[in-house]
Amino acid sequence: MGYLYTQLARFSETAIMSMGAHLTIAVSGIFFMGIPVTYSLAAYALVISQNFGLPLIAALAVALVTVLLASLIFILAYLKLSDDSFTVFTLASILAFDAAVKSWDSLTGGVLGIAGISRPEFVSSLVQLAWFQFFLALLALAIEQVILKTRLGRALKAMKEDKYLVESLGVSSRRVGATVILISSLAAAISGIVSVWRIQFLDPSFGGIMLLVQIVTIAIIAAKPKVRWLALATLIIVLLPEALRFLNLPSSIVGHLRNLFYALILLVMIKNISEKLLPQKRFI
Amino acid sequence: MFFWQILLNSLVLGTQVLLLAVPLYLVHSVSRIYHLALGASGIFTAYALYFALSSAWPLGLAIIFSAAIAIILGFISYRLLDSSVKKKETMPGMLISLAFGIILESLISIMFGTDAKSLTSGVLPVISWGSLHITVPGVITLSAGLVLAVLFLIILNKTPWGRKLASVAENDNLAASLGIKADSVRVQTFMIAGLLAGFVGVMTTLNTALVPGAGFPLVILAFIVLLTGGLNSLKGVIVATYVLTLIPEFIISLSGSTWSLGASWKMVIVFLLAALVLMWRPNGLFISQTRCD
Repeated sequence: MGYLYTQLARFSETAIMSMGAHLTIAVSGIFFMGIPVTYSLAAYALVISQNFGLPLIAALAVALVTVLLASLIFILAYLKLSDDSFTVFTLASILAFDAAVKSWDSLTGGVLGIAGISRPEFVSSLVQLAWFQFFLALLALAIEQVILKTRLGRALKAMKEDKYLVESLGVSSRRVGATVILISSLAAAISGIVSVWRIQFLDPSFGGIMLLVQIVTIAIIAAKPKVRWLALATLIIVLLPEALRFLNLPSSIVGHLRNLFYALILLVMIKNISEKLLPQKRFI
Repeated sequence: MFFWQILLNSLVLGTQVLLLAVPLYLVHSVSRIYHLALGASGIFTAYALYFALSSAWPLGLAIIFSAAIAIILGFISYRLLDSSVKKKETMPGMLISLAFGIILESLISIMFGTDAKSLTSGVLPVISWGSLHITVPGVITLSAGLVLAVLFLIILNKTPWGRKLASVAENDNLAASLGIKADSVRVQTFMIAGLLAGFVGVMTTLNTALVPGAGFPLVILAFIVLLTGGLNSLKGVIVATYVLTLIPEFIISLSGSTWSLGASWKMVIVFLLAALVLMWRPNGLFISQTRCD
């Protein structure tokens, strides 16, 4: 039963985070790769604040403010840089954050990480946590559904078609882009916080490039701006590699096989559905 | 003398980054795609050399084998990215390249494990000049970097192949209408890039250790250099490479007495420096104007 609850929690965490990736990459065509940074940053900010003796609410507020500051940097980069350069910049931020976490060991525990992280009382058992995370995941999916139906959602879809046309219709593409990056960062931050409550351990491997590949794969499989596609893609990507557990493979290669699996899916999917990621070709 | 030793170390590191930035620049010129798999491709080549040497193959054969692997990886990259290049889908192309890089890294980890390996046994030979010290791979990297930088500047600006590359980079349809085989130029560029990345992979791992994930930080560093220098300026890339490797090296070396920053902070400092430069000049230090499509 514990295994099933763990899978439910993993699905929920991934769904919350992928909601941001889906809105940025699949819906609006902004290739924002800094999601693992805000995911880890929120977790580190929360745990470090609690280690300094702050109560849960204050620690959550610190985590939120830290993530907001980080997303402001990403927004500034989005406003200043070209699309390609913005993507590379956000990719580089993952490495820079990883280097900072490993180097600042007096604060972050360095490569050894921080162990013995306690869960809040209201989610003290795995069952409670899994259901709480599932509730948050449903909420995140509902929020995305609402966003897609609003003016913002329509602007996001239109931005993928043509940014300049959106501008000509009186919608600020800069503001819309900045808003979606902010939403994406906050979703990743919430996912990071609930993930660290489940794992109860934090080290530099929390987040990183492999997490990015996983969520980008989900966003690309769920290429259409539909929430049910996102939920289905998350379910497939979270559960499919679990089959590797039953193949009796050496534990040292299971993780790498999973990475290989995600990367292969990403490659095959992009090769086959890349046109869905790009503006529709129209002939007049 | 301390200053000169830091300068020398930074020059070696900078040259490694430059050697990877040049193929990235070439691939970007002909495809408009950020080829993120180049770092992993270089490390894969280094592992091919390690495999050949540990199987007691003669050195010459081992080098030919690893060079062949590098060229094959360049060709596979071209085949994978070809459709994205032709459809001008730069973002999906970048993701394909990222996925290919992760596939290579995962294959290395599965085949060779994740523990650090060394291409040489024992201590690396060191050349000393007074109180300055440099390893032999460091000297090879430095010399190869300087030679290749000059060579590429000449090839790109003064030879027919360089002009073909420039014309494909500018407008491949127009180049094709003038009888230039854009596909042929692209495939050659990808294979040369693979070979150069392989050379960097071997030199980097000779100076440090062979680990599967070493390629990604290197390629991202090279990209930061490309963006900071300016994507259309090879001279800018060369200058930015040395500036972005020298400054963190000096900050870390001089921080010893006051804040004591470790070498692992280098990537953070490079990122912050690049962020500051890019906020000030988004097109890079050496690009004053860009042409719109």
